[in-house]
Amino acid sequence: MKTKSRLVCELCACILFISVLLTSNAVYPQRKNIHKTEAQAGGKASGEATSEYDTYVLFDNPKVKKMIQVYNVKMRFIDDIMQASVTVVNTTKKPINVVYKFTWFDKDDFEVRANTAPWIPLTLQPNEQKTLQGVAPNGSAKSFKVKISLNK
Amino acid sequence: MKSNIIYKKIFYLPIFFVLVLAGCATTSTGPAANVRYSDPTAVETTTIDFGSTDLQQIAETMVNGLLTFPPIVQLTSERRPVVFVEMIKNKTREHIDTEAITDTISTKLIQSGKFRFTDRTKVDAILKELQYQSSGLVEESTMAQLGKQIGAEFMLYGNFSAIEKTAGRVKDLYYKFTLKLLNVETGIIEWQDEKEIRKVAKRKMIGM
Repeated sequence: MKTKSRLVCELCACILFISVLLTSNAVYPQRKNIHKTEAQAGGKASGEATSEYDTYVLFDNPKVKKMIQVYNVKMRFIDDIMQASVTVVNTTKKPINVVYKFTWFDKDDFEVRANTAPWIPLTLQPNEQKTLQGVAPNGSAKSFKVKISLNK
Repeated sequence: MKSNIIYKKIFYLPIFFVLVLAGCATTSTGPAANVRYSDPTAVETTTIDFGSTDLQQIAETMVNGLLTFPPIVQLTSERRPVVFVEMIKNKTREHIDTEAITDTISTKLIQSGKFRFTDRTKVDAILKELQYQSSGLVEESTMAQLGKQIGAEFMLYGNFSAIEKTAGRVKDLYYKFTLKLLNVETGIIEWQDEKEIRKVAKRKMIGM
């Protein structure tokens, strides 16, 4: 009798565990997969070491800043359209998945076509160097910022 | 005997509980679901299939390529060429709304101030409006004149293909989007660019 009730208890626990697993995946599939919002990834994190590229490159937290080294920021105008290029290196020994987006500002520091630029996913292998390039949406852009965040 | 009945009840109780929870799961899009707004520009990897991030990446690459291609830069510095969008051939197995991709591309190009577009899908609606304007109901000075439409100089068209491979629990999906800008008069392809996207998904052992 004791073994029977124990078996029932174990069965209950097992079914409960599976049901919780199933429902958590079915009801909230987007929680794990969708990357954090711009507001979360926007500003400069406190306590980070400053660099000459801080004006142009924003990391969502100091941890990401340590993982990625920025060593070249270039910009030019093609006719009146601004183009920017940022070279980054993965300084860790593991591949990292990041997302980045360029935001553009006009001469009065207003964002050009605000909140329309997409986050672009990028994988960086250990010690790999990649160039992030962006082109302004129109001729009114005079400066830019690139936001880099971990793709969780 | 009594213990047998209790045993059966205890046995069926968790099954009932699971069914109730499963029922809740199927109504996740119903009024009781936890709905929230999310960032439309965020990276989306809900499934391996074509998604919003793919669309945005393709549009971004194509527009950036077109706006920085030297002969096109020279051309658009002198005038704003008129373009019409021809269909993008979807050669993938998925049902993909390629018009959504070309809409995003044409939106970005118009917003750049470098290109103008005509819309051939609205010819009937335009003709109806012109007929109405020439019906005598509209004041003559405000009437749109016939024969003043501008012919498109370029045609924007392309292909969208995919290579899909599955090995065990791993699925590899490769997309290639090619876009071309053809001079209608000369038949010359003035610009062409492509965007490649690779996505890998590993199916879970447990779970949905």
